[in-house]
Amino acid sequence: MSETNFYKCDLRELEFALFEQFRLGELLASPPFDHISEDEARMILKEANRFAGDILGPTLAPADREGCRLTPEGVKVPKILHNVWHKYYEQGWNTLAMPETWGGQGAPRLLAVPVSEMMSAANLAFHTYPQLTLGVSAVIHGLGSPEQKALFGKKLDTGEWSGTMVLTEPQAGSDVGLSTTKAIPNSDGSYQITGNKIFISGGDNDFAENIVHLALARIEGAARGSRGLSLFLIPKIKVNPDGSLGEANDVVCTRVEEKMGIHGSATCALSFGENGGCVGYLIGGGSSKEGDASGGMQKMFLMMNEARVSVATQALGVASTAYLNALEYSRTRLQGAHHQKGRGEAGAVAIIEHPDVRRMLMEMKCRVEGCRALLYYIRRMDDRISILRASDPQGVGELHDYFSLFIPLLKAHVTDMGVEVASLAVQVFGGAGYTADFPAEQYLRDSRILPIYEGTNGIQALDLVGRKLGQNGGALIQRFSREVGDFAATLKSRPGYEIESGKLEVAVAGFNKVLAQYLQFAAGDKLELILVTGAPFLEMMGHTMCAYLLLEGALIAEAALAELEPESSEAQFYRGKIASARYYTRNLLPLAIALADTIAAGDATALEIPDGGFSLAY
Amino acid sequence: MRHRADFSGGELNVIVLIKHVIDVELNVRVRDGSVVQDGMTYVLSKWDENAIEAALVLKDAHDGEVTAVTIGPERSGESLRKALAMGVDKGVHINDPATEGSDSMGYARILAKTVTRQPYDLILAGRQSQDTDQGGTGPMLAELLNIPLVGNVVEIAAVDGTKLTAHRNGDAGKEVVEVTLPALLTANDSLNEPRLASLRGIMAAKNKPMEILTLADLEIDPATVGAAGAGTEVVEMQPPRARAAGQKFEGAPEEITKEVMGLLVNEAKIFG
Repeated sequence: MSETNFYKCDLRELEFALFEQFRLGELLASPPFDHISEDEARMILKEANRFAGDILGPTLAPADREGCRLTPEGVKVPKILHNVWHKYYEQGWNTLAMPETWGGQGAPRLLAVPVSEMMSAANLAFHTYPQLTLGVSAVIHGLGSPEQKALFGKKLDTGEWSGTMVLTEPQAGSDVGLSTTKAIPNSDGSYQITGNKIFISGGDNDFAENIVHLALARIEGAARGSRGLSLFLIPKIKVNPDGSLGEANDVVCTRVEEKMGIHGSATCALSFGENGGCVGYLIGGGSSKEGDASGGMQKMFLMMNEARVSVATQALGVASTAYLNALEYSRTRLQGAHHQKGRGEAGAVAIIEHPDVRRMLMEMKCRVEGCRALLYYIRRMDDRISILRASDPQGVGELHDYFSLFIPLLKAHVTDMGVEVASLAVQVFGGAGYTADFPAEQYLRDSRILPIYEGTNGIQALDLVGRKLGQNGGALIQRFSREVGDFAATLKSRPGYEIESGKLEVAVAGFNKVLAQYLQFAAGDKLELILVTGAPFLEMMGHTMCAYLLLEGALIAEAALAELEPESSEAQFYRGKIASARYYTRNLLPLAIALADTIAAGDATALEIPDGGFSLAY
Repeated sequence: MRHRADFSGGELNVIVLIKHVIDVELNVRVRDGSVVQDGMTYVLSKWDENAIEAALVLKDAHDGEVTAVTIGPERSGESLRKALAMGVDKGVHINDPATEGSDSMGYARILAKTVTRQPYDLILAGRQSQDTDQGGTGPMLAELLNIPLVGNVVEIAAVDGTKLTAHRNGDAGKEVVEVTLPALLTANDSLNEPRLASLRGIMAAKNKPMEILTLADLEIDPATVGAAGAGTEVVEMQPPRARAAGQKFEGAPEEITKEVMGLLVNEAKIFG
């Protein structure tokens, strides 16, 4: 039975973001990216889209239905994913933005975003495996010893082996400092590892010959808390010095989680060294004797920051295909009479004609495009850093700090919006959307993990208000506020954008008011008022940023529109871009404005309610 | 005009004819007798992908070189680059405004001059292009070159010395045909599963040779090709007639069967 392929991608929209708004062409004109032409970039997009559609797309529902099973031989992932794993690596999609010195193609990360977006849209559960493997490879290439790079890096890049990120333990979730996994030095410089880890994505599988785990563990005698953790490379199967596989490394999968979604992704509980035979290798040098072997969290963050951007990309991919599926359905599903034109010849009108359905489509469209703009904006900054590295090292530092300000915002805002979009897609499908005949329910189930993993969105909010706001003496957040404020001022002079510039100005003023209020909360020892409003603060900032970037896109669309026949398909596309910006600014940005008032008011109700006041029954 | 028939287990040089066509997967609109160009996107014609795949499989087995040839404006270069990304070794692009409006014969004339510039053992083409669906160019080219033709090939069974055995879908079933090389084959879409262009292939393509030629380079009189030399003329394009809406029957199976049979016998008069 051939499977219905629900994968959808609007290449025109991706090309707008990539080439028109975020000017990939400029990046491709500068080293280290000038070996790639714009034509090649366009072909990469088209072929990635075809891979996502033809190869990954049909695996979405079957992999979800089959799921992952724990057997005496280890974890079995859905059979249909074996073939796509090998094809993905044969085609080299993991190497797109990998530096040339590591054997990659050295493309801008901005170009890798739409490719990742497509793969996640086609099958999110599958794409978690190569994304994690890429992250592990990056840590090994970046921090590993020459031997580690030679023994492990290459095999991860060819897909012969896969990689995982191992942090969580039953008692150490968001609070990773509670980890109890131990590392005891062996005489040969390696370590004996013992401990139990849970929720390890791709922790075991049967398509890669070996698995490279990057795990946090505490060297005997190291400090308590997260600062005493070190980062270890722990292979599933030991690797001989010549690269051949040796004996099993006493890493056992003891459980595969039954989950709400991403059933194709094996979420494993792993036992390390239950029989005393698990060997790990310290990543990034240092020795336990000299006491400089910790800093594992910082090293893991090399991967975590990347993983957080990846999660936002996953959310965008799923949201985008969910929107396009809902849109297609709304054009073909005939129900009810038009409020003015009646039922027409067909006896009912396509539901896209109903105002409430149009509203839902608009809500989805502008969220997807706003999130895309946010993601591409941040990714572009990353590439600017690579370009600057050669010419202006000081500029790199500033830009890098600014980039890091946006990581929690990106991760949390895009994943929250992604779930909202997926939920709206179910709504547009109506009863059909709640059934497995259509993909909407799977998109909703799959995307629900995204606000949770790689640091919950609550943790992201804490990172933003607790760490990033105060960074560089508050200069980063002020730079953000100035950037949006300056744009709002420019927009004021644009005829036809009075409402939008007005709302953006009010939003920036509200944002500044909250920043000032936060300083007062901090001075008045009311830190809890900042912590309790971290999530709404992040939401406010996210809406402000999305509105700003969508409006910037609208101005680009206006300029293009002036040259076009009004009814041409290109003109309709650009009018759609303008509509997204207007809708977002008029309907979602007011949420940010309202949030500014509530945050600044310092409402302490959630803090002051007695515990028993939530309910005495539980 | 036969160029080379000395293949005997050595290298097999293959020429693939490809065309950059309107993406018919999209909603093609016809207005005032011609196709609306607004919003059009172009792709490599699908049967040409089968021809490329077949050429690459033959190359893997026998070595040799695969050259892709296309005729068309600047934008057609995209399909050539795609062929190179799939693994083709060399591209030849005949880009000359005077080729516009060519019919199948015009294309065949241009291709005949093009392919004979280099030795070849085999020419592969899609069985028809996805835009005009004529299927004329391949057979006409074989005629001009005076080489054997096997159309609508579903399997290339063997290449042995100077002989090639191909299976084709014929009127009465599958036909097994043996030809002497050089020959021209046109590909059915069940011939193979075309490979996707890999990322490495895309990046490697820019270092492959791409020749751009005009009619003057090929010493072709512009009056013999393009709209000027066309023996056929498309007078008007018409959109496909919309099909009447179907009829839906609801109720118990016995009743529906009775009702449908009644309509088939009495109204459609299918059972005379």
